[in-house]
Amino acid sequence: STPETYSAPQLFELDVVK
Amino acid sequence: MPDLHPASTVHATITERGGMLLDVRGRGRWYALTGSGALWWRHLAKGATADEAADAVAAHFGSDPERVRADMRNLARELQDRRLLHVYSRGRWHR
Repeated sequence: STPETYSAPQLFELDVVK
Repeated sequence: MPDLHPASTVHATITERGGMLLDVRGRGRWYALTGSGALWWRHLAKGATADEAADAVAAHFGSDPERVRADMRNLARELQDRRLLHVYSRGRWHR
């Protein structure tokens, strides 16, 4: 738990709605 | 980039690996953010400006700040479109 490499951010909308 | 702040209807859980956002408006919506975006959100929620937050992300990953700022501008647009982020406006009295 190695340095992370940068990657562009991503946003996901999850297909759940209680 | 304008100063932005998370919407009051959004509850966030942020870890080093990413983040989950719950927007409780209406029926409620869940969103997932990947690591760099989650880190940016965390700084934003603590009061950093959008560019300060991007620079902190760049420093964390050792990346080019200009590239990270550009990426976060794109993310900010997505978040604003979904009303998860608002432009910070200082209150003014109008006559």
